[in-house]
Amino acid sequence: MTEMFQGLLSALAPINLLYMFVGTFVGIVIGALPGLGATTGIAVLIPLTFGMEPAKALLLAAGIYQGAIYGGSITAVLLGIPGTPTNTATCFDGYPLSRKGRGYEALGASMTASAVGGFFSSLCLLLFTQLISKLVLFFGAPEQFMMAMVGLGVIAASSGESLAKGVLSGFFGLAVACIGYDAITGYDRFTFGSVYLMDGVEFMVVAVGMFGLSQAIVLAEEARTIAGDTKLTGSLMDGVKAVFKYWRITLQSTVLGIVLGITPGAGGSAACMLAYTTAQNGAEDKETFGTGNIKGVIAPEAANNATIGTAIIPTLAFGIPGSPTAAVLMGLLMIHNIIPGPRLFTESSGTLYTFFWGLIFTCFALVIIGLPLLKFFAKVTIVPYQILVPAITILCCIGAYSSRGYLFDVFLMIFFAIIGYFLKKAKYPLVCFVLGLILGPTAETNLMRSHIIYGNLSFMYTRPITLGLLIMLIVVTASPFVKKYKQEKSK
Amino acid sequence: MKEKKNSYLEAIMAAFIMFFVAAMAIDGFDLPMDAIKYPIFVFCIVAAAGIFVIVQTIKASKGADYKPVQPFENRKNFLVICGLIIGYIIVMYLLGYIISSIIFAILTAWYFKYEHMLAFSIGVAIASLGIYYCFVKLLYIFLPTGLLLNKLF
Repeated sequence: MTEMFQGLLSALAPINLLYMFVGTFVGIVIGALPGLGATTGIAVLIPLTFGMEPAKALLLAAGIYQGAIYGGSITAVLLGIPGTPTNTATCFDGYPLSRKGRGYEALGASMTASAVGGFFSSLCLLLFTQLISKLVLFFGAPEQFMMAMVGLGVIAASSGESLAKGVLSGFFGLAVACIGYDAITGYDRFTFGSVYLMDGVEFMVVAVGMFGLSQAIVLAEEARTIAGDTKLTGSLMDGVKAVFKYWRITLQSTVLGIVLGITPGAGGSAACMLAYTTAQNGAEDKETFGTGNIKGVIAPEAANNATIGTAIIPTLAFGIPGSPTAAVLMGLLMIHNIIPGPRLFTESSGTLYTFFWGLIFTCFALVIIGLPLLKFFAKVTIVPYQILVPAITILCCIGAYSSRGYLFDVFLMIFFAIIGYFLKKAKYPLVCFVLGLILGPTAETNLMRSHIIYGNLSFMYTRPITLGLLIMLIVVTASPFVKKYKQEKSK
Repeated sequence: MKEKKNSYLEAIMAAFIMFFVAAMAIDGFDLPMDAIKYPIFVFCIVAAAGIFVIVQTIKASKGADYKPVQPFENRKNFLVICGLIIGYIIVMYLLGYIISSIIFAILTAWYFKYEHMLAFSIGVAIASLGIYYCFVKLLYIFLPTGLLLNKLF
């Protein structure tokens, strides 16, 4: 308790607050650039922190982490380009809102939802790290497989008017996810002889193509600005208020983010997609999702920032990073002689608590920095399309190229942009495709691992958590059919 | 009023997805069973759902209240912008990021009849150089320098 209090005092020191604010600002800028994210931001930071005190370096990293995850939503809302993979679901409703001239509201909502999600997740990290680290041990391969299956079960509920299109779109995503090196058998699969496909298809490349570049093509085709003839209406405060007005969605998505953050391998991308689909399925106005519903911005943004705090727990408690960002963060910790593992809290608790408090304070920094910046950013929606189309295209190309440094990925992005363009026109739910692409590798790898351990599929009902998840899967998959049956019966 | 022609876009996209997945299946023909058990299951579902969507689309198109999906709002603009983007990547491969971005942005703005071309061209050149500098010098991410320029210098 004393160390926690000392950490609070240390984090509140003016110089440390300055580091947090600088980190948050840098994070927002890096996150807003497609293809770059928290991982790049913290990786670039490492050499700069060699001479710094550990607490200051970690506070800078905390700012970058929170800022980058949030920053990705700015381009997702304004241009339809997810700045980071975790902001993909924000495009679904954020961009249509911008097209309706409600960019201010969407930006206000994404900023506040990110701050709320990040705040509660960081609070969990501060208060329950040691307890949660024990829970993490219960999540083995069978549980991770079943978690992925529950996520895939949402496809049925998110299909909208045509279940067949939803299933086709979702399984197309799963098929694309099969491309590349198979982690279990070691074979290269479905690469068409290309060495570039051996690592699989980068999610960022697909997301930038399907949501970003395809929007640039639409803008060029329609020859209009993002907001079109509509004037910019509303204010950032409307978005801020919406987060509290729809507090159930904010809370539900935050909890989902916190839980999926703890689960190794699930990550922010899965959390934001599942939060989006859960919010959609629970909403009375579910048919307006995808056409510019503010709840569709709140849900993914609360969830992706809510994964931050709890995703760090396995890294700190066991020294096992659950994501690339956590791995880079672990590198930063080790450079400053803070060794993750069971003895961490006895050896470096002071610095660690300063870091935890830093994560909490950076949520406030998001709002303080975000409010004045966003007023200018929202004007992007009224920039002439002749400027915007090349700008979006160049940003998308940089985003696709910088993820691995291959021009091949840029061609791949164009391929998926054209597919995305026609799938959208043909009213295929892209949310199902993205869900399949994100959860496919987790589902397959953990299914094969569990099968090797058990020799059959009995793990699905012999372990308490998997049994619970199996029941949840049945409920999630069956619910749209039951709803439809009830509606038809009442007619 | 001229009746809109049915493009059968839903069915065409279903057929495209099935074709894509079939190409994947053919490519993985030589792989051992252990490596393709799960993908085969996925491919089968894609095939079943694809056939279902095609049949559904054809059936629905015969209905009185069916609204045909139009693939293009403006076909000419669509083809031009796709051509420009593909050209941009090819030029990027040959001449690198900076030159290709400047050419692409100016050509696009010119095609769409932007009024302030001079100011725009200067802005694009400055922005391209700025982005290149930030990526290479600050973030240590190298953008394409171009095959021809690499050989020349």
